[in-house]
Amino acid sequence: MVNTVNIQTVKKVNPRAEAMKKAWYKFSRNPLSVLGLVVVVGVIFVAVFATVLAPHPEDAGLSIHMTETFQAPGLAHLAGTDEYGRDVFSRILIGLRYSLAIGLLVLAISVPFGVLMGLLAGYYKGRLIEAIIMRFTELFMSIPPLILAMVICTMFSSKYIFAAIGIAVAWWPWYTRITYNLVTSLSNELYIVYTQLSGVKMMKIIIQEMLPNIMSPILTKMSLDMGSIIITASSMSFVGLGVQPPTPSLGEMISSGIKYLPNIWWLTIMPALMVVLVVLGFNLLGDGLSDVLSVEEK
Amino acid sequence: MQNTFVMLVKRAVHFILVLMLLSFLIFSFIRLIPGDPVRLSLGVMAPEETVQRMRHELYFDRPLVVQYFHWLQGVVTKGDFGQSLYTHHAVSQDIATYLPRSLELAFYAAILILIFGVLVGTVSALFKNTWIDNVIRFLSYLGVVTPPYVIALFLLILFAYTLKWFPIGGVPSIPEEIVKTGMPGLDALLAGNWALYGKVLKSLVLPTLSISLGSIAYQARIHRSSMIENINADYIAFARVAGVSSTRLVMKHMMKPSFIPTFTIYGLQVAALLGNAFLIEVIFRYPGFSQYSLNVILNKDPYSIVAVTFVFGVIFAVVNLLIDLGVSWLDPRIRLKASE
Repeated sequence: MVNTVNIQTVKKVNPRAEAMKKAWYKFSRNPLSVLGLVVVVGVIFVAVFATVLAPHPEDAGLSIHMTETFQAPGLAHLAGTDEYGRDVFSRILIGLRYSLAIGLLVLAISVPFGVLMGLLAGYYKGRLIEAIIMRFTELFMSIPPLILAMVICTMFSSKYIFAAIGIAVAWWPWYTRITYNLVTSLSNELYIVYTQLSGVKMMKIIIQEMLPNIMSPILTKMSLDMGSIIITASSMSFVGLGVQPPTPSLGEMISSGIKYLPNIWWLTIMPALMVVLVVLGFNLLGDGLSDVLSVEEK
Repeated sequence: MQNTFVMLVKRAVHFILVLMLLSFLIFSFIRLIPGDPVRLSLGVMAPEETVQRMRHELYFDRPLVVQYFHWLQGVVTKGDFGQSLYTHHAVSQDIATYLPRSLELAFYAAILILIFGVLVGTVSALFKNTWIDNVIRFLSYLGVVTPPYVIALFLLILFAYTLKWFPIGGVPSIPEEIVKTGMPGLDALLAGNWALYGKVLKSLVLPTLSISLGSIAYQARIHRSSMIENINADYIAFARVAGVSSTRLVMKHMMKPSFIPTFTIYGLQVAALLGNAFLIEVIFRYPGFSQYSLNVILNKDPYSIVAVTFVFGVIFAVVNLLIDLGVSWLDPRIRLKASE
């Protein structure tokens, strides 16, 4: 009998799309990761449409309602009102916007710069450039990020944008370190060694072979870092660095509410809960991403 | 032994270079940025001559490099970190006043983190995937994501305002004549004043808990996962078959190797304690080094800022050195590699 091979038209499979599908399946099986994603998407949505969603958007500024001061949380004011009678819930939503924006801004500055430095240090391994970059990385990592960020921010100006720059200056070394370590360990992989032996330029190897491979750990770190950056930024606005009143920011709301404790607790606790929620969301998402993306490495 | 010594010397030299570079960097920041710190300190009303004289005294009218080396010379020869424009004391004197207070706070926190981090992590690992483990994991996750200052606020409202178990802030003043170390609790102990020590301890409870709870949670997570890795290791199964008792199995064969990642993370957590204490010291009005650092930074006090970052750099480097020594003691493989 003749074996007949049924040649079907082989469905073209895009390996990358297939991998994405698999990753999404694995991600969606973990309820905590999905919760993280939902929280993050929800928070971003709320922040983007804050002025529309806030019941009293005018309270983001200097409005005063003397008849409505210090009202406890209730149906009229979900998170109560402050010493000027402003709606705390509205202020939290608007403040959220600045928290997320500062997080994105810091990542947008520190990640490309940090990764570039890490790639350079890895590329020029054993040369002076590597030594200089890695010593500077150590240097910046030896000071607590909050201190470094505050020093830089006060030196220039306490404005919002300088708070972001200050945090970014404190943050890039972590990305340099992680990129450098990844490039170094990838350099010993056989496929990289073979590509190198076949005469492909190192720069090309780094961009075409290494960069896609280090994207997933960096992406994971970015999600986890969002939480830490938001905490750092709120700690700075707590002491008056960053968004300036009357524009609301979560840290400033918390610090100015402390003097009314314990009776008027909602001025501190409500924005504090929002900080926890946002950080929780980004951490769950980051952990979920790391679960999914680290599969290939194992 | 000799290798440890060589490593120590190498690290010390490296560390001194890093510190010099760090202080130079901070100096350049201060000099390059617009705004005159001396004018800022004396106020707008101060006559121009006074400002000029002070600028001259503080080397602000000379080139950056000259000012830097003058400062460095003072640090190396006399331990003089310059003059604070904010407190108007010698910076070294300010550090001697404020740093011990924070170190005492960090000391208690470090003890709590080690004991409870390991304990909770071990329990969680031994009861892996039971409800005990799940509750612990949930709480520790919450502990990790909650910023220390939010924990502080909750503790403040619950235990100070509502239950009134602990004071809402401050620290009992220590009589001048018994101040030896600058650490309020230790000074009270050295003077044999138990009542005062009790009072100090009471005021330290909430700040200590605020800076340590998050670290305890993180430590527990790390210790749990490294314990679990060891529970599944072949040599544990082998030891069990060979008839090693359960207690000995847990205490010696699982604990010791699990301590390597735990110890590394622990060191980093302890090094970060002072940095994390910023808002905690503000919230509990604890007059420590973090609050001092915050004030000098906000007041753009140049010499104090350099000194403050210097101190943080030293603490970070010393702790890292201790971690490396500790890990090489725990892990025979690293010890062997070092002696090759």
